[in-house]
Amino acid sequence: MRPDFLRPWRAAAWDHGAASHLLRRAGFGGTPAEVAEALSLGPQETLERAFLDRGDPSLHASIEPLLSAGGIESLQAWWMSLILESGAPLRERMALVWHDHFATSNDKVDDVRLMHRQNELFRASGLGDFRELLHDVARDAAMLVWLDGNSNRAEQPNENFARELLELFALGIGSYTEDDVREVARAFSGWGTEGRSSTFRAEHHDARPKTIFGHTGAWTGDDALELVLEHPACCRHVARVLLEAFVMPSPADEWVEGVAGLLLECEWGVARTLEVLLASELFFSSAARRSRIAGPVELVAATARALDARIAPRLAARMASDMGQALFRPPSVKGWDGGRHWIHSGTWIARHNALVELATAAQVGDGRVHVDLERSFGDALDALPGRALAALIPNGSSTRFEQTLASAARGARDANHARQVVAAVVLTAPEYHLY
Amino acid sequence: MNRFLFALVLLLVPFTSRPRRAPDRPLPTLIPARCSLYVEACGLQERLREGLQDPFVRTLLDSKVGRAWLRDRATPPAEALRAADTWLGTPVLPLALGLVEHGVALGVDVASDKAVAVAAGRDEAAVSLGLERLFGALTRSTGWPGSVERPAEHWSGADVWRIGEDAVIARRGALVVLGNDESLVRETLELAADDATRGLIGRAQFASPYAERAPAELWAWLDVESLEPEGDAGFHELREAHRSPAFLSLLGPGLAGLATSGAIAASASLRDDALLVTLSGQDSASPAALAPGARSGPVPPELPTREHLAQALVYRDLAALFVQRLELFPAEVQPGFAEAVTNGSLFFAGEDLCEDVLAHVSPWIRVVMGNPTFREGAVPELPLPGVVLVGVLEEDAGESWIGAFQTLVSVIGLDQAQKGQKGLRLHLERAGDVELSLARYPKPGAADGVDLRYNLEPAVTVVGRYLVVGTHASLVAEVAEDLMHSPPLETAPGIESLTLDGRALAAVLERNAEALISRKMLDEGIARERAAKEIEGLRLLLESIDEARLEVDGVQPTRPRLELRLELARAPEPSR
Amino acid sequence: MQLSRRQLLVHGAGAGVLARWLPLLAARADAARQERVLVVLHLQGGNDALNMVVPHRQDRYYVLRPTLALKRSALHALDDDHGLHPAMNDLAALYAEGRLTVVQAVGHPHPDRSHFRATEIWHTGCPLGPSPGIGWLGRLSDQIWQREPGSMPALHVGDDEVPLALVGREYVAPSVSAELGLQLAELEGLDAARAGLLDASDGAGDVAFLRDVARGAYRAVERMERATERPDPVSYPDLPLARRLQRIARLLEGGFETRVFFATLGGFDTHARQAAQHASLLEQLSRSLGAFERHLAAAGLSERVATVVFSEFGRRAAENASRGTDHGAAAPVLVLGGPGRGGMRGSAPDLEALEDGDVPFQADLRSLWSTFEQEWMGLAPSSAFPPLAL
Repeated sequence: MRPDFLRPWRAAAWDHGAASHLLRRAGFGGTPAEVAEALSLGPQETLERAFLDRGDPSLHASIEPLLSAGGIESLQAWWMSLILESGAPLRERMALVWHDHFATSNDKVDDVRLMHRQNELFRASGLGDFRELLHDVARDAAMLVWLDGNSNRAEQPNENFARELLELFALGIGSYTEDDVREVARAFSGWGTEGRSSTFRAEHHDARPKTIFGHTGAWTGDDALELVLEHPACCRHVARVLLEAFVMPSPADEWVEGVAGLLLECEWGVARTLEVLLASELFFSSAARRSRIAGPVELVAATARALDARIAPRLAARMASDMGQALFRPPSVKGWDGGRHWIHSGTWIARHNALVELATAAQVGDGRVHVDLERSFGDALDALPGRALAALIPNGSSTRFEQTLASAARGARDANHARQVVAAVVLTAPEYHLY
Repeated sequence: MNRFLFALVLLLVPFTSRPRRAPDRPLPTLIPARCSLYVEACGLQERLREGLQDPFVRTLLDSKVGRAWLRDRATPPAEALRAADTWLGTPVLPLALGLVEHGVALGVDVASDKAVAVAAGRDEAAVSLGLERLFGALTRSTGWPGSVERPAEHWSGADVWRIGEDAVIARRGALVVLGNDESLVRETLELAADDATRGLIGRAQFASPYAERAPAELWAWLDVESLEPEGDAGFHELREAHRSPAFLSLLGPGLAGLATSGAIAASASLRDDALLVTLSGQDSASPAALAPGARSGPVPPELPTREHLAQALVYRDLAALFVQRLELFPAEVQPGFAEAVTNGSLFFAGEDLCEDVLAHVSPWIRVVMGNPTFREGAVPELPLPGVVLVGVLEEDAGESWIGAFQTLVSVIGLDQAQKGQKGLRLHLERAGDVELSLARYPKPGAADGVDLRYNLEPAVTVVGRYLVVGTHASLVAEVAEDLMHSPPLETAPGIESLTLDGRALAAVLERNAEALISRKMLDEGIARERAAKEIEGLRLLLESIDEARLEVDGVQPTRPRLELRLELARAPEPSR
Repeated sequence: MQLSRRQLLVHGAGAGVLARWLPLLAARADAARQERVLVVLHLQGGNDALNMVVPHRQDRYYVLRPTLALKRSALHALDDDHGLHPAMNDLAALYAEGRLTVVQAVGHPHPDRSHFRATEIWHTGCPLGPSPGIGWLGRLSDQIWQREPGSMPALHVGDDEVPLALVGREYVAPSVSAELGLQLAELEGLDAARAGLLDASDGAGDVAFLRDVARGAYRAVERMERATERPDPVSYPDLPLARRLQRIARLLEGGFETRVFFATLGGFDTHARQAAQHASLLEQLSRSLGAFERHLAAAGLSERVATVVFSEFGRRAAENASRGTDHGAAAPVLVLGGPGRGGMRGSAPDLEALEDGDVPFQADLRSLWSTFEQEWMGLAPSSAFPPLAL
């Protein structure tokens, strides 16, 4: 029997706030038109649509001619363009979650093609069977370079990958011992790269028996992965990842257990798990709504969509980098800590600048932002504060807020300026940064 | 405002070189002195006479880019003209001719975005008729300026009508004045009423180039100095080019002279199928010490064109640049120079970079751009053209350059190895009669793709007194071969030149079109279709140019001159 | 302000009196410590410190450096055995005033001659093992940030990327251009509206946190703008390092709260023809620091500000064949004000007893950093190495 909090949420209160919440979590927010459409379609259909891929294939393929040229900024701009397009919202959102979880940085890998390949793996398999994903990640060339696969040899094992696999990727601290790390490292010895391809070198593989989690055998890397997946902590660890990414930071143990059970019930299928999770009572509860500080990539993307702005992908990627989230360059294998770690004086200034640039359709260097606030907020100036707040901070307005916006609008030079000021005030308000 | 732009468009169509009847008084005497840009369309009359049958218009429309433009138009030009005739109620070309027969010019105060145009018509009657028809049509469509019978005001003996919010049109005798700013038009009319030689002609910087201009072309003059308060960072960098060693080395004395000129005069004309553009600068700040001819030296010969994309002869006296750095450049760049000298000396095995190395290189350098031949298995996915430089050395000075090259490659290779990258490896090879030192990356694995860096296969060789160094070994070998059988060295021509093959460049663009389109999509956030269209437009433009030849004369450092000659390619089928 | 030892003795007569004063003393000392500022300058490329602080009495110096050795008569005397490079007039004067302390032979075991790795070591304070990815100044920033979330504990003044030294777990210092300061996108009417909203105190948790940080950030920008409005009491030379120090001095004068500043001067990697370039760089360093110290003195800030000047390694004692020098190891570090009492610390490098062509290190860089972390800033040190007595 499924726990109560995972039961489907009664759609009675399907309002602007709920629709916005779903669109911001199961993707990167929606344009005013998309929010309106979601309102008419209802939560179930909206969620189904989030799983679809209606993106432009030529956009997806646009990076290929540039891969040989090597710049990471182009790759960042390309992924940002897919996120901004939102042709396949959940697919991109999930890819970002896995990129953070299996954090690999180009600063060490230094190869745009490999980073691209890893990214495509997250895109293609991110919503599928987690077990297959884990197997594929372990043999991904970028990951092997990142965690020193080539240095992991029988004579001299390198524990880097084994440690991160157990500590960060699959089990979490406390579920394994140092011996397990050592033995898992031995199981993976010989896994490396040749040029840009993953390869297995039998001569470097330690084929002797190993004892992992108490089980002894001549385990190979694949065997080690199976043992990890069977470990009871694994599904809980993955459940926590999904909860923190989609529902709320620091979820209670009860919920982690529930989602772990759900994950097993869905045979490790991420999409099937999300189908239940993103329709659940827990997901729509007030504890889950606006419970996270928005990360830079989602902030830029969701703001651009909420304002119906067109922004050069390269500029958007740079804005996110300035705010502390450079795609393909996480600070360490732990990924981005998120939450309050996104915010300090330097990054707040970066947020302020990016959001004001979006609101004022600024010309920033070579990148241009095109935004039509009149289309987003309408042309009635007295309704402007209400509409801006409804579009940007649903269920978050207060009389003081509305009054401040109203007086700001009155003090403006003309209608266009009024809309810009109102938008900028809302966007740079701390309340806006909770997604 | 649209009509004002329409009139501007008429002014910007180029023309032939047949001498025109000069207007009764020079048009610059009518343009207010505060204008920083002046444009005179001396050959407009011929265009208006011939219309679409005009030879140059035909050349333009027959070119590849012209043809593509025609295809995109909903209405072909002939039909558009007929529609204009109907709108006006009378054939438009003769009417316009009547208005501008004795000259038409434009003055612009760039800082404030204000412009005024003056047209000297055939005679008062033709002008009155022209205005009457024009006003009639305009008033029917837009409501202003109203009837020609009822001018809004009279200023300095002229009838004035207002158009829209800002624009004003006036007539004084056979003179028509049109502007987007009231005060500017007033000033113009006052000048017209006056006999004194005031106006733009009174400025010394303007008067002499105007007097010296070659007959009957589109002629323009720009006061570059007055633009400085408005310019962006890039503009200011160019204006300070004479203080930047990097810019001087890149642009050379002539182009740097133009960039730093106080004022520039430009003219454009058509000769057969070639478009000729000349620029001359005044009061340029280019240093005399670096001007062509300041140091004499032998010149590498012109190479037979083997489908080269471009060939150039440039004058770069690097020795003088270094030796006189304290006088020429500000304090900020001196540490950079010191570093360059010490590091340079390192590569030349302790020889002094200025005294021992650069002083023995002729300042005349030939530059060749061509398509390299790549090794099998190492053809880059984005193949780029390569560049080769040919310099002339003193006898036996070649060895130290080869040594420097080898040292440089070794250092780079070591650095790359330290970073875990596959590095450049030094090879010595024979290609025909030529011995090359070259560096190449080891071949990539079959599944690894061929990255951009495989475009680089730097090589150097010495043939007699010629030093040949380039980005790709196959090109260096070709050039070296040609030099072996080359004529003896010439004396210094004094002029830098550059020749480009438009079609060959268009082919390079085409090979890399996909990458350029992707870049555009990511940089500008536009859809693939639009990006592809823009790249295609650029390609057609290049293909329309058979040959472009640029000559830069910087011999007189304060008065640089540039001449650009574009041979336009005719498309095979005739236009309709 | 701190009570001097003499005053303590005078007041020490009555233990009761002292007992009353002690908590106040502690609080005052704490408050004083909290106002202390640390300015860190990195001379990038490996400064040839043997030609900066010259042990001119040793004959070996002239043997090892036939062309690069500096004439004794040209040097500014520091003590009997050492002289300062002729180009460093201002620093010589500061030494005479007792403001400059020279710490001999600061380094670490297993010197690494790679710019990248050596820089990493000095910036993180971890010579052994892989880099933790966190800088020692970053750790200081984190501590300050814990106490005052919403403040701006550290700043990088310069145009390039934030150096590793300033990267903390929680806080990463922003970069400020010497000329432009912190640029904030402006929109007419935004400031006024925002002021009203940020003053609110409703909401808890994350909203309150965000508000604190936002307020602090805007306040910092505003103060930075105001700080540049008044004219300077001294004139600075037109040099890149001087402009950066000028920005720092102005911020401090304007009451800016930032406690840690970092700036870089590059170009010290002099492998060939060293003499002219090194002289030019040392001159820039000396004149810039001279103006900076005069500005601090005029603004009454000298007691609060300590400056430390280091390089990622020194250079080899012997010159090379290109009249330059190659990468070395330990080298002197300059300290202005702060915990330094002026003078030379440590013994002269013995050029007869070089290790692998380099001066062996006497003081470990971790001790040096501890000195500033613990003694000067009053915060937890990043290593267990005892602070130096400067």
